[in-house]
Amino acid sequence: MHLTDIREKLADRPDLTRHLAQVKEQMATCIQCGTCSGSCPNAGFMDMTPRRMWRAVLADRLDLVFSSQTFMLCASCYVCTLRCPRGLPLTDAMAALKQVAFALDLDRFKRSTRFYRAFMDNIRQYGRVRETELMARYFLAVKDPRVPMSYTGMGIKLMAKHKLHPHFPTLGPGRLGPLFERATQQQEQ
Amino acid sequence: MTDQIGRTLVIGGGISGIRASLDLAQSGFQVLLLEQSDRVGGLLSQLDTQFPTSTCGMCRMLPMMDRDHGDPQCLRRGLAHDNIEICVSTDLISLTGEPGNFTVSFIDQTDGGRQECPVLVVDDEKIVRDSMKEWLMEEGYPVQTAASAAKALELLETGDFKAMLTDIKMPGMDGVTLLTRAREIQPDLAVVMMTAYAAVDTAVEAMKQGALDYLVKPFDPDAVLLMVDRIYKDAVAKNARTDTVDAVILATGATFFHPDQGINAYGYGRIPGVVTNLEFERMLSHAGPGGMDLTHPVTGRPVTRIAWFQCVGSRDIQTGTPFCSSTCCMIAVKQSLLAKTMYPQVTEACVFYMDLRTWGKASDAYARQAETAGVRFVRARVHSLAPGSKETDGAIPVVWMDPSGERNQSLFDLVVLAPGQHPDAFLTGFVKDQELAADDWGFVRPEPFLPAHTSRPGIFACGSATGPKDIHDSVTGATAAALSAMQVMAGAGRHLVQNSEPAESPDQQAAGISLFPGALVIGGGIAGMTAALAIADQGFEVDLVEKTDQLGGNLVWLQNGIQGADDFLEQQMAAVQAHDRIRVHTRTCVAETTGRPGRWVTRLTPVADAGKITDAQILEQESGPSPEDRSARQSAGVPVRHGVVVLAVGGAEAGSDTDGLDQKSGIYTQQQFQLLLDGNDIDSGSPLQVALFQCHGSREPGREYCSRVCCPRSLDQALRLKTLNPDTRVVIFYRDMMTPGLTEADYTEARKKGVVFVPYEPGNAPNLAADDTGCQVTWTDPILGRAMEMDADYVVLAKGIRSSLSKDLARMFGADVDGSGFFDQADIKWRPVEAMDPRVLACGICLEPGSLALTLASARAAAAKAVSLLGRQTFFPGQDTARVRSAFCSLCQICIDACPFNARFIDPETRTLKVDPLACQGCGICAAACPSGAAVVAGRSLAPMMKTIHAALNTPL
Repeated sequence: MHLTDIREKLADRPDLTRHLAQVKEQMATCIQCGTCSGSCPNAGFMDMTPRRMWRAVLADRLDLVFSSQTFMLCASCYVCTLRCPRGLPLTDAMAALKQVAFALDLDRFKRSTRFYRAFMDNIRQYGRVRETELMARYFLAVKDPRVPMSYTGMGIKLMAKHKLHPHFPTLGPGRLGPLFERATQQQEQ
Repeated sequence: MTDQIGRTLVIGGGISGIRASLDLAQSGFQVLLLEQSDRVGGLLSQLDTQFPTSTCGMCRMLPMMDRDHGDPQCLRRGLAHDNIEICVSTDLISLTGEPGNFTVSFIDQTDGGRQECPVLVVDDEKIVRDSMKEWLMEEGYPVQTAASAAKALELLETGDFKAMLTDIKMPGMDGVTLLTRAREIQPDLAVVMMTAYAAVDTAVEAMKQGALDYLVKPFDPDAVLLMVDRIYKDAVAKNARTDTVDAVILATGATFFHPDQGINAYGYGRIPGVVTNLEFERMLSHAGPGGMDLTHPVTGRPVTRIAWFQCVGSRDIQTGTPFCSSTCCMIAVKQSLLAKTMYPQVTEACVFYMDLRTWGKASDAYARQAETAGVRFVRARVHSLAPGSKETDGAIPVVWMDPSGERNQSLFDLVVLAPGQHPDAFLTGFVKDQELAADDWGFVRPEPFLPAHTSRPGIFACGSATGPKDIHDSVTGATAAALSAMQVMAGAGRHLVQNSEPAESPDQQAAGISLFPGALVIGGGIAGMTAALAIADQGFEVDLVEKTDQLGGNLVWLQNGIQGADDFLEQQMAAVQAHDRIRVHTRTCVAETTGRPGRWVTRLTPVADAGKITDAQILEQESGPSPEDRSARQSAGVPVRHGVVVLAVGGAEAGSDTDGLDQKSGIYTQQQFQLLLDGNDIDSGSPLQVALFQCHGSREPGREYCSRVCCPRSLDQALRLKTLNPDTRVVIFYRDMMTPGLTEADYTEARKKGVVFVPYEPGNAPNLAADDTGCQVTWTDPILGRAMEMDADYVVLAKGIRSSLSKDLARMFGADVDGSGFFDQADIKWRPVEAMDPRVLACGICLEPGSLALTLASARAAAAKAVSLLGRQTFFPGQDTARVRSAFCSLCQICIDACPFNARFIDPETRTLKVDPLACQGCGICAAACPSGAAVVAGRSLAPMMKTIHAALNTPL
């Protein structure tokens, strides 16, 4: 991922540019003390610690930011936000980066993006998750036969433990529709 | 005629209060010292040692003059002076009036104190009842609680209460009904309604029915205490003692953040082995709970691994403290150094910090000393702590992330927290009652250019009441506050106590020495001018010597960089020129001085001419014309007679004439860049690229101190650049941002405005490559681990300050310069503006690098010391100083050579050996050196001393 590519993509998305500027502004008073990285339960799995992520944001190194999976691995546990001596909204900022990455539809996050969408659609439709359908939709969305294959082993294990229900009793439509509409409306505002 | 004697009220008996009281007392004024707790000494009575000396020197604050009027004992044991009335365990009830006539009323807690103000708390919620009870009991109020209105009425029938705090919404009878019923039982009961925000209307309604006030839930403990304090004060007002004073000095100090408040991520009070630095100070003390051993407070096992966590309740938005507490870094350095050197068992001493704030002239070298002793300094903030487990053998696992993103873990037996300083409830109440200007966090805001003045005339403030301070700044500020109080008392026509009592014997009378009644101030910068004005205003003659042809010193170039400084400078210059007691000698320097300390005859000379004068001239000068004639003689290079000398020769930007500068490529020093900014010579029409480079040549061998002013100045410059053009890219390369106290706010502001901060380590500094078009700066970002670069239009090097004080000048008056070239103080903490001889004073940046505010404080402190000395005509030896039994003295002068303080001399008039009581420290070396027993120190005569030594050697301790 090159800086120029990101800038090109952002050029026709003033809304996202604004969004990113907002994140930078929110992070401005960061003193790089590393409390966030130290407190993050997922830091060990991240290719870039949260502190480095904020530093990259402040240095306008969007190439580094969007080459990283860090914000995707944020579990929204809010420990960093609670501990930050500067009182920065770190978890919110992670979420904002996630949103921008989705909106830009970057290749690197294609699978994550597809999964999130399939997941939310599933919930919207049924008011809860229907695992088999969720996975089916996800596999269709990624359009890559290798993906379902990679999940076969796990699927069999889950089925053996009765965690997957291929013959799920038919449910009526969920009632979360209005909630989603309201959220979308708010986001647009 | 007691009502004519100047009398000042000092509130708070901590180090600042003691310092201010002693300064006033030894000047001959009376002091009324009020202290809330049951002893004076404040926080310092719990600290065995201080940085950067690793010793305690508190007794060095004891008066040097009229020593017998005070108790020459360790100040930790208490304070005593004839002119100080000390009231401990005392609550201030009220203070009204104006300069020269304040009425103060106060009450002894042991005699109708808070015990006399029982409080009833009524609430149906147990947690509210319990926490209120705890807060109030801690402050000394007797508290009873009731879960319902019915229970409350029952208690009111049987017991006597002064105050009732009641919830409004309760099952059964509500608070408003309770109010009416309660007042039927006890008509003078003060009732405070407690309510949720939504029900404020009801509370207001209740006030119409006789409630005193209301509190909105959730409560701030301070608000509750202030409310109850108000009731208490009203209730006991009639028993209080009233007194009148001329001026007031507020020295209430600060309180510490309680680490168990709020999130308590470090588990203080929960995890065994997590202690505060004050608790650790006691553990470290040989007189502390562990005695000679350093043991774990719970398990009792020897402690071998200790971690220090900085910034607990300071520099933390989450605890409402966006400021730095100024002292904790150095406390951690001291404690870690002492732990590592005093206890060989300590294998690991590790300080976790964000910026190691070793500001000031001696701190950085002290931190390097700790590093050399094996203390590990880790730039990291630990997010939280979990208790030790079986696997860790009870030790606390500490996890942190280093800059590269590497996760680290170490085990520690003890974790020492550094809780920050906050304004306390008393200060908050006082500021509110007296309507003093305060900053956003509740500290008293000093008036511009008057560091000890509050917004109320006649009320002065010092110590941590005006923001977190270390001992050095507190002591300097306290003496400056004492000067302000002296000025008020002089303005009100008050007199001194007539206690220069006749000496006991004719022998002692003859031993007295007197000072020439004038001051010589060397250096016409703002420090020198301030000191000269303050001394002259108190009625003494001053000669002000300036080597250039202009007064003002560094403030001349700096005046546009500090708001209001230009007017201030102009005012001071005019005042100095117009003062009829100040003679200004420009283009002049000091050629030579003769005479004893205190009876100096100093010859001034035009800057180019520094020739010698003859002995005959000296003799003529000693008996020369009176000060009135001096103005006529000054231009002829005729000497000045003076009793004190104030060195205020200032300093300059360090190394501005050396390496790295290249204005063609845009490389400037901080001062040069300031002139560009002030002259509007920076074209920021299009965004610029500016690199500000801190500690260039500072805090490294050759200049091993922090100049304290450059970081705040760089922040100011960065903010100005950002104001000129918000798109200008400003990068500050720093080692540790030295923004102690409230200057931390500028640091945050600069970050907010988008200034980028890049830390570097010595040896890994950013690289500058200059050519004709500009300067390319390249560096490695420590967090990103990547090479970065900028084509800078300007590179600004903060080179720090060096002192202009020469060894020759200092030594001329028996003083000296320290290893860094600054004035060598008698004690950096306890006697910060004096040499060992109290008649040699220094102020401004030849004393130590510092801001304008600090310079003004030290100048006023030096003036206070000078005024104290000059106000006394004659000084007599005290019980603690050495004396001479002239009948035995053969004038062999061995003692003169032996005396390390230059306190002994032969009086040319009487041809006898005399002791200078201001210089003598009572060490007794003369008594040991004297072959004929003529030199004696009272109370330390030979026979008892020998017996003491024998006893010490024969009896095991």
